[in-house]
Amino acid sequence: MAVVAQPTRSVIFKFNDGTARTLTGLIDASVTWTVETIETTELSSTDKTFIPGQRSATMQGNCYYDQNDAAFAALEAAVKAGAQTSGAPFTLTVEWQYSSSTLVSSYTANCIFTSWTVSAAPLDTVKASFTAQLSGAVAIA
Amino acid sequence: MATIEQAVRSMLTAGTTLSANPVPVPDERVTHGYRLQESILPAITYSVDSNEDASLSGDIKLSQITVTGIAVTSQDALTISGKIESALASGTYNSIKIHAIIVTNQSLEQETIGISDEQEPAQAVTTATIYWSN
Repeated sequence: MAVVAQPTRSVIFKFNDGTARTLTGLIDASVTWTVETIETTELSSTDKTFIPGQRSATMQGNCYYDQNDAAFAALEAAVKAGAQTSGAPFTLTVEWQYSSSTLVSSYTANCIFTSWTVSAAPLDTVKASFTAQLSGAVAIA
Repeated sequence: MATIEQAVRSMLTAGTTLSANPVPVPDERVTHGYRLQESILPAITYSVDSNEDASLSGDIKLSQITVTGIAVTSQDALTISGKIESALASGTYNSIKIHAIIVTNQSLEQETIGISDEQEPAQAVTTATIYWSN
């Protein structure tokens, strides 16, 4: 079956800091996956060759800043804490839901929040953006 | 389900911000879109110029609105403009929750007096961006 364009119905982050939470109010979301390469070129070869090396991924989100929302407040606290009180890592899921079908796609992994930015500008709302370094295997569903 | 147009009117007419002195504008003179040429002044018209999704989760909407205060004199129109700005307050109206209101522009079109008995009233125009959800 050929690829079809899937209009976005909803994108949400599901975040677990010991409590399962759903972060709404997202303006944009993305996942970036990188795979390092290991060069295996022989000295006699003019064409470089590589094999896949270690891989890592990050998730980024940009959302409206609202400390009155419990999920948002927990996310902000998680950035500061680094890990759960028990030492267990946070988990983060980004979930894409499509308006053309009931299909839901998601990426889930343990994470460490590595950046947090709160910004404001004239004639605009206050916004927050974050980046999470994913740790270990990323589950794709 | 209420529309954002209904919610904006409820927001404007909430309390006595517009209907109280000075330059009172009774609720019945707050109309959507236009006013009749011979209708009594001062008056206010408003329109919702655009609606769009403002979040990926689809729960926050963004609308551009224009609210125009119309009065015989510029001074009165400016007074109404100040009251309109006060009336643009976040809250729940007709079950629609208006989260944030950002006034993006305010301008004045002065009254015009022609060579005969024709006169065009002054208009103070306020445009704003509102964030809301059902």
